[in-house]
Amino acid sequence: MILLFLSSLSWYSAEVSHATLERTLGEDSIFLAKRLAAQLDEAVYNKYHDIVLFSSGKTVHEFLNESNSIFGSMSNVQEYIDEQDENWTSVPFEEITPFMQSLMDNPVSVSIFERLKEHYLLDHGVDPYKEVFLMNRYGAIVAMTSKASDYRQDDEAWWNITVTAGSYYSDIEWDDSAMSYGMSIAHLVVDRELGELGVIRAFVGIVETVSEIGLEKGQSETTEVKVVSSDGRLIYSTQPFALLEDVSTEEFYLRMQGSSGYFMAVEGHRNRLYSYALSQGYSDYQGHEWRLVVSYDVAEVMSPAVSLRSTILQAGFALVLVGVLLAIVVARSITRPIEELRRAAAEIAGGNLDRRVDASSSNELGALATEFNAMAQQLHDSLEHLEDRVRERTADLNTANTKLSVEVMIRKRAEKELQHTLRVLAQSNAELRRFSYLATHDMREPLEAIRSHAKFLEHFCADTLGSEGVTHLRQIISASERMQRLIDAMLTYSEVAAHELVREDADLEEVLETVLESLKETIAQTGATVTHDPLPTLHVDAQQISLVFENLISNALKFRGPEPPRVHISAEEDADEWIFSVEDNGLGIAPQNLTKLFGIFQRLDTDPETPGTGIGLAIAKRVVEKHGGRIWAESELGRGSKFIFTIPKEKEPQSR
Amino acid sequence: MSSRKVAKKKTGMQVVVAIVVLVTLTTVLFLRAQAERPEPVTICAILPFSGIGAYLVEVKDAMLFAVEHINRWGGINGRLVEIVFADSKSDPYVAEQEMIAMEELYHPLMFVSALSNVSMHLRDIAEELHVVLFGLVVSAQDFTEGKEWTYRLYSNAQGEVDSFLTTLRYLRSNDIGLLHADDAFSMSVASMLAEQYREGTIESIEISSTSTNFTQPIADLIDNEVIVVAALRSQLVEILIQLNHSGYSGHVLATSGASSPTSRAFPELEGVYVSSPLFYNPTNTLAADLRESYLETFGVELTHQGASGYDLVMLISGLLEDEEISREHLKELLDQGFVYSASMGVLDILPGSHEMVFPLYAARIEGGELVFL
Repeated sequence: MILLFLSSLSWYSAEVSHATLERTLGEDSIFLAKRLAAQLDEAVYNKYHDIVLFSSGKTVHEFLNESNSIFGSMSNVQEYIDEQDENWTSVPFEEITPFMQSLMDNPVSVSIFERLKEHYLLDHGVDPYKEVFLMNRYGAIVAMTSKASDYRQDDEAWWNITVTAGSYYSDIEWDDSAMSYGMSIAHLVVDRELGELGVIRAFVGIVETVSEIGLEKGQSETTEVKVVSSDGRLIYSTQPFALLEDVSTEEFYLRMQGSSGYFMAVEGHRNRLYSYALSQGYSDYQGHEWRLVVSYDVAEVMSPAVSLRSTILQAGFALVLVGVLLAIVVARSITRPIEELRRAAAEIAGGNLDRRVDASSSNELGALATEFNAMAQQLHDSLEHLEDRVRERTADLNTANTKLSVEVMIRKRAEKELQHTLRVLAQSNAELRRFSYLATHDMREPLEAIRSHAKFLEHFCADTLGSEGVTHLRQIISASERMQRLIDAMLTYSEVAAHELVREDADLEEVLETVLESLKETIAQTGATVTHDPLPTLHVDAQQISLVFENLISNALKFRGPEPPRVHISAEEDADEWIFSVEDNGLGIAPQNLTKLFGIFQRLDTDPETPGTGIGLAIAKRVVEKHGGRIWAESELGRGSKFIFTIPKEKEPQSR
Repeated sequence: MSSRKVAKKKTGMQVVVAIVVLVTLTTVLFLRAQAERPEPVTICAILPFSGIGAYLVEVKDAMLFAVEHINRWGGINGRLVEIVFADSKSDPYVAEQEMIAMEELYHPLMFVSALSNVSMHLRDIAEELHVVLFGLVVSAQDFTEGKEWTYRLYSNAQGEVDSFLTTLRYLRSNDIGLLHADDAFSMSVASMLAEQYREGTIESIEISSTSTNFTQPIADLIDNEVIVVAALRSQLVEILIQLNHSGYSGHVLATSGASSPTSRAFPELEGVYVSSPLFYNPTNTLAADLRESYLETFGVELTHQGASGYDLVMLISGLLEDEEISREHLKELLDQGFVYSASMGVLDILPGSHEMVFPLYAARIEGGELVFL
């Protein structure tokens, strides 16, 4: 902001200086134009004054008086003048007749040449008097510096004005005899005693007149001076120009208003400062309202302001530049350490924890760098510590991995062996199941034959066998029937073990009713009371579950106490399973036997009369376990038994 | 690659891009400035830097002085002026070769030449090429006669003769001897003086323009009351010195070459009547200013020969201001006639005139200065 303000101030100062110089130059050049215009008027007047002075001399007066006397003595002076005029104009202009030469060589002509022409030439370096004529009062030329266009002059307009007014100043005009543009000035020569003697006329070159006063001497190298007539024609210029060229349509002319002023305008390819002043006349010379125009190349006259502006702007620019550079240096001095910090941080992030930054600076950045280095060192130390720990852990992990690998290897080997064993076992089991099934199945037929033959013998040969024979025979029959039951039980066990579960939604109330119906005769014989809680409908193999109920209830009826058997079947729903129990008031089971109950062929009752195969609970256990449940017994001798089994609930498919 | 290397590489790339942009920008701006700069206005000047006209090397300096002045303020219509110089060796045929070569190379706006014998030869080529030829320091009377493209900016032989006639009238002497060289300028002066001097006869002796010993011709003319010498400046001064050393006691009139400051500086020229341009008149303020600034710049006096070169360049510049710059238009402007206040005097040129002649005035060397009669 400060730089911007300084720049604006510099620019404003330069502009003010420029405007001030322009105004000063304009006013100064108006002064110059006025001065030159006055000098020009004075120079014109001086030409007139010179011929007045010259013609006021005694020699001229005497010369004119003598001429007037001669002409006055002529009988017909006008005729003489006409005749000479005709002779004058009848010869080519370039030709000088002896009469003409005599007029140029007379003492007055020589005097005019010497006192006017040569005087100006030597004193001023120019010859403004293009021609000077002296006429007597009759209008005839009596002396001249060069050949005039004609001899008679009293028929000219200027003559009449001069004679009337005593003086004459023409505007710029062409003169045939002078072959140039200039102004005519004339004076009526009057002698106090003799009266009007004649007229002296000079044709004055305007360029020479202007040059005489040194108009071209300007204030600067590009100064140009123009003199423009009142009707907009160029009278003079320091540049090559055509006399009386019409400049009234040019910009500089159109912009001239009033008697003086200044303005800027473009001329050609240049910006120029114009000033002008109106000629006001001098003494009794009234002037012709010529405009004297002075112009300069703006580039030159304003060069001090331009230079000042340039200097100010350069200084401003330099100031801004220095400011910017300073800002860059300061910014760099700040950003460089920060950049170094950023790079160092990046390097550290990339793993180079040895990277440090220059912390020699005593400012905040130095403090920051010191903190950064400390942090980096801390990070370095932490990492080293961490690496040590990692190394240790890695070593431990390697050891554990080795152990685990060994363990895995061992376990894989064991698993292989187990799988092999399982496969062998499954094969053995299958073979065993096949064998037991076949055995039991195949054994039933000869056993039935034994029992049939024994029955036949008992029935038809009892007399022959005697009582001892019948007893043995009956033992055979009994044994074969027991054998038959045993085989049936084994067959059942085998089927339970071999067959897959056929699950279906089974109303266990109905299953229980079916079982009770099959045991109806036993229940009736034992006077047992069988009760049950409401049983659920479960997705189970109903046929096999009925074996569980049948075996547990028949055991309760079978191992009765003195009291008529009371059997109660209950069902309880748990979170994950149904818990069924068959409770009786029978003999009860010794605690040491509770774990043996469910082994095959386990008979805790030693009484051979007690019916039973020792397979029923094994079947029940096999069925429950096939359904995923458990079975166990709770009992005390003499206090009845409670067989409990569970059927897990089938898990509902989880909804998502 | 590490981030540090990447950053360094990035910074390096930025610097390279910045330099490339800077160089490209500078080149574009330079080429644009070159393209926008208007072609200069070329003038070819064939001047004698060696040979009998070697002294005219000052014309070159004066022309360059004018060009420097013009170009300082923007040239002509925004176009700078350049002048290409060639040494004519004061030999017309060398000058011809140079002119043909320059036309081929530069096709200049106009040609400038100096010395009558050289310029008289070149004018025919200029007419053929339709290019303006300005003769400087060419006094041969008929230089522009019948020519369309040939112009003179200088005093002519008539100016020399007019000045002589004024001086002779002043001296009221009829016993005149004329020693003139055989160059074009001197021959013109001699023949015109002989023709226009009506008061008596002139005893005339012609010498070679390369001659350096004038004992015999001086001896032949020593009895005359007045001896008029017409020669080029380089030879003129030597003749006047030898004339002085010969013990001649009569009046000596010399062509304008003797009016230059370097000539006047010889004590042997004291009292010699010379034809002098207005340039040396102390009342000629324009010339006085020019002489002063030239002296300040070059440390030597500007001669009227040199001033003619200055005036020519300033005149051409002034004429072409706000005008079409071409050979044809330059000729039109010159032929229209004009008035111009030059350092050598006021030129009031009538339409159609090819003679931009400065008048010469009678003067006498007194104390190394000119005193006009």
